[in-house]
Amino acid sequence: MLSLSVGVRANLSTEIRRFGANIVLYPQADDGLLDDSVGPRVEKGALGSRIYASAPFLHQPAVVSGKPFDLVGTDFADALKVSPYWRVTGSAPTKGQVAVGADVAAALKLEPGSSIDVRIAKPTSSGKGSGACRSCHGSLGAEHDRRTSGRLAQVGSNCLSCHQAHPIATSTGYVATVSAIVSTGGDEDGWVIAPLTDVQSLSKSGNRISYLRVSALTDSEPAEKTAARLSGLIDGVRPEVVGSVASAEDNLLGKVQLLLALLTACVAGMSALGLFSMLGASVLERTGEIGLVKAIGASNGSVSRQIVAEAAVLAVAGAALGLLAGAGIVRLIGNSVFGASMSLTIGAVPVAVASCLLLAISASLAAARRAARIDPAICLRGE
Amino acid sequence: MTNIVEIAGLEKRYDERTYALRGIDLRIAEGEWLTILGPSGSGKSTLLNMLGCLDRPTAGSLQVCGVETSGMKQRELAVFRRENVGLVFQQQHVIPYLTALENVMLAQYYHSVADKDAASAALQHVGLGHRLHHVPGKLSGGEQQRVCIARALINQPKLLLADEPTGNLDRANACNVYDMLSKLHQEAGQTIVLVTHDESAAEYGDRTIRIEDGRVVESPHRACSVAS
Repeated sequence: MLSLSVGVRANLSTEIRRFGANIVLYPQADDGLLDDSVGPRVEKGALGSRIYASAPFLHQPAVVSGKPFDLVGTDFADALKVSPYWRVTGSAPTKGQVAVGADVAAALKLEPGSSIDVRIAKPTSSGKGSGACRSCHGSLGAEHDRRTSGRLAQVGSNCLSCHQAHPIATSTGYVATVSAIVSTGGDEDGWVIAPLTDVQSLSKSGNRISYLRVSALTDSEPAEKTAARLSGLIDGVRPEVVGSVASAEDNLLGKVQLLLALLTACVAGMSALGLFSMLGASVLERTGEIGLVKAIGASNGSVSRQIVAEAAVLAVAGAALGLLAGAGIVRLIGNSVFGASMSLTIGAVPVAVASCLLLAISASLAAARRAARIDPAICLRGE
Repeated sequence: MTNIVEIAGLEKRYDERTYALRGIDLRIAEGEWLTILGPSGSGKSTLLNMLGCLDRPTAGSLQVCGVETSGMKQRELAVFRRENVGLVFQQQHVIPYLTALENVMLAQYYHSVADKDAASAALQHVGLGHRLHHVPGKLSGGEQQRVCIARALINQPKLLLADEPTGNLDRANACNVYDMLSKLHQEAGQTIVLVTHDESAAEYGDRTIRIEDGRVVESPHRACSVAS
């Protein structure tokens, strides 16, 4: 139980990673970009073991087949690892291919195999790097930048300054093949997702990315602490914790672990009660034997010590059997519940043995006291 | 001849009205075999328990081996008992999961150090040399009682107390036990106090006293003097 309650946090933490990233690393400057080497630095750095996965994202406003959408460059495999909840119909996009969000697919009537024209929206005079209204050169770009994770289709179709539909100025582009439809129920449904290098070369962004989504394990520390440590380890990044995911995760893990700890305590209590009864019954059953050894010279102390020692031997034997059985049960639960291999937590072994000993010795004290009170004269008469 | 037991005004009462022993005066000489006769409930086993330091008197003086034991604490009584007294009971009290040899060695263990050779020799002495490694379940009642006698004698006690040692045995086995005790008494000069209600057992002893209602009612003088 102890091993399970320790191991379940790690496994649940991995399981919860299906909810998506819990930390996002933004550039420190509001209008800046990050170097795409930040991903490997996060995964292979000092906190590497705490990172489940990370994926880079580069957002560019684009016009896709005549309509404004958000073009997002990413490593599709990494993105799927960070966001396992993405439902993908088709295959991962490779060079010259894109995956489109469900909303984009619906708006443009796309399916895997369709071809689309992808063009980067020209930067505005403000240099925000997003599309601008050809008529009024309004604030479309600025609004767009702030809403990189929003539904760009709604924004770009109407200029935010003159509130009229205007075509958007575009630069170079290419014809891409739709390799997959991505459905998430979230912002990604409005994205056109292409390989990161395609978007970087199309937008002439070099090796830059907009942000890095990080999925950090929270079995040993909360996401906030990992984020703070990432901030100290990597220059120029501003980590933000995805509050809803992180707090729900921490809350859930804490409650599950508390539940298992209470269950462990209950099992330990019941075991102690069982041992208490068993040792009491054993003393009662062996009254004649105890009376005899007292009659031939055993002191109360030596009789008591014998009862406690027997309980300790039982505890050690029980702990050994329990560890063997526990190893199997933990493995079974790991496979059947989490679909992952769980093993006995080494740190739990001495704690389990010590707890068993403590429980057994505590439970045996009453029996030892009862044994010490046995009157040899009475019990040898058979009374 | 020195007295190994000296009792004066010994009383054991459980409440104001219930007496087990009243005003017992008794001396037992070293090397003597005293047989205590009496009906059931007369107090003879209670007296034996006092002698064996299994129980403490309510009043009176009780000296065993020259030591006043009436005021001793439980722990002191346990130490005194294992050093000076050997006990044989009516029922064959043996540990069922230990062999005959281990049952004898158990007394050595609580006394000092378990000595396998000495325990074997003790069992051979009581005619169980061929049964050393048998558990009690494989021994007859008489053999089990002989294991008890070997165990009682293994630490060479000054005083051997036997409480109805043949009560659960048939006639033949009972005679064997008495013959063995007799041999021990004659050859080694072992002091024996035998409690029984079997009148014929008195033949083996040097002296017999009779207890009724917690009092010594008959104390014939034979081998040594008895004051009561």
